[in-house]
This record gives sequence, C-alpha cells and structure tokens, in this order.
Amino acid sequence: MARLVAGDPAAVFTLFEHHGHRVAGVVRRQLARCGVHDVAREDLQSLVLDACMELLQVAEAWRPGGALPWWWAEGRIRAVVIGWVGVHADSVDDHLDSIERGEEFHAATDEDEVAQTFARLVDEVPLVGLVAEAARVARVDELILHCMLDYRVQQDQGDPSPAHTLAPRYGVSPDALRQRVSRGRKRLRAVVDDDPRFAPIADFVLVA
Amino acid sequence: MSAGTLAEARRRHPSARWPAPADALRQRMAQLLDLRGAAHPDVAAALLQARGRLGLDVPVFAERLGVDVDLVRRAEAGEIGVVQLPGPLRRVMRSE
Repeated sequence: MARLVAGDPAAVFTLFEHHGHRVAGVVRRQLARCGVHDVAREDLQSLVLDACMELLQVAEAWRPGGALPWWWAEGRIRAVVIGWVGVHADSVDDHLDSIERGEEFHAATDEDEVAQTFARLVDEVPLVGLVAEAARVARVDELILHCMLDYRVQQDQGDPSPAHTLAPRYGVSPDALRQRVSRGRKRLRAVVDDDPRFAPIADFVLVA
Repeated sequence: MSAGTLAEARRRHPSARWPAPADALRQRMAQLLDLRGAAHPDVAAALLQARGRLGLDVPVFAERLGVDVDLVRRAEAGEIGVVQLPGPLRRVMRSE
C-alpha cells in the first residue's frame, strides 16, 4: 500500500501477485451481497483486474491517519463491484419476488458498518486507536481484526453460533473462522500483556 | 506431513484457487500507459510487471541488474523501445 500511495505503478503487480486472492475474496463477498451468487470465472478475473487498476489510480488519496489500508482498499474494491453490478443488473423484480415469497434473510450484522465504524473510531477514540495499534504490533491484519469484531458483534447479539453465521461471508469453514478469531485474540492478548502501553485496553472483551 | 496431505493442503490454499491472469494485468497497464501518451507502453508494462513481481523499488532493481536507475525510470515511463534496452532489462522482460 505504501508503494502504491507513493505512486509506484509496479506495486499493482505485487498486489495482484501476492494479494490477488484476497481481492477476489472481497469481490466475491460483495457480489454475493448484491445478489450475484454465480459469477463467470472471466468476469471475476476481470473485476479483480478492474479493482487493482482502480487501487493504483486512487491510492494517492489514502491518508495514513485515516482508515486502515486494507479496509480502505476494500471500500474501493466494493465500489468497483457495485458499479459492475449496476451496469449488469437485471430488473429489480427478482429481488422483490424473493421478498414476497418470504425467504429468510440473514442481516444480523452489517460488515461494512462494523469496518467503517471501527475505522472512524480509531481516529476519534484513543482507546480504539490503541486496539488498532495493538493489532498492528501483534500482526493481526485488518481482515482478521475485522473478522474478530464481526464475531464479537454476533455474540453480543445473542447468536448461538457466530462462526456458522459468518463463515459464508468470509468464504471459509466455520472451524477455520473460529480458529482465525481464536488465534487473533491470542496474539492480541499476548501483546497487550507484554506491552504496558496497552494496559488501558487489557480489560476489553476483544482481547480477553 | 505426508506428500498427499501436503498436496491437499496446497490445493485448498486460497492462492491455489486464484489463477492470476498476470498477462491481462500487463495488458491493462499497457493500455493505461498508452492513454497517457507513452511511446513504448508494452515495454514499460513488461518492465513494471517484472519489477512488481520481484517486489523491488527502482534503485534496488537497477542495482541488481547492473543498469542505470534513470534508464529504468525512463523505460518504465515508456520512453525507450526494446531495441534500446540493455541486455539485462531485455532478459528480465522476456522472462515474464
């Protein structure tokens, strides 16, 4: 991200090579949210290319004090997908039909909202900033931290099995998601225990 | 871990499920550079791809190949044709 922000166009190839699968994951999740559950491989690849090129062209707008880099990038990737879905959208009647049929919807949490709220609070609330800093020191990346927050929100809402609810959203099995959250929490806990800077957040449920 | 288990783990890994069409990205880059008026967009895109895949900045890339930093910058800006490139840059381009 630093290289992209610095205007190095070669960084887009590094991004594509090493994180293309993550970009593809964000694209798939956003497509699913937009109701597109079956996308052709060529379209998916094309969307990932679009997203990478978009990141290259807008990266200079990212500010170190703003959203965490991967969350910021996710926002741009989602915008590309939404634009694509808009261009290729069918009539809204399909969606209305499903509402009329009374199909079950799973909207217990809103991933965008959790990410955006946390990113905003990082700037506004020092203790939340401290959580973000602890995550950075613990090498808990944005996606995993995001996952941990989502998991916590589900638990707080009384979800008996957050892993099963969130697994499709993150494209992993419930066991893998549970493991991801558990490992992230352990790493965060270890950093908070070892570094006195993070004492003020030692009682947070996220690191407990 | 047995060879079968390792192969299975590799198959399940997200990187294995993402067949990166790197040539397509290079073509997109060439198109972008062409729109920006580069004289040799294909050469520039191929060099950017080579350097990007190695994850190196321009000075380190130039040093490793034993070529001038400014020459790399000009080539990546699309100012230099393939016949004017020194051997190491031509080779790294062709290896992509």
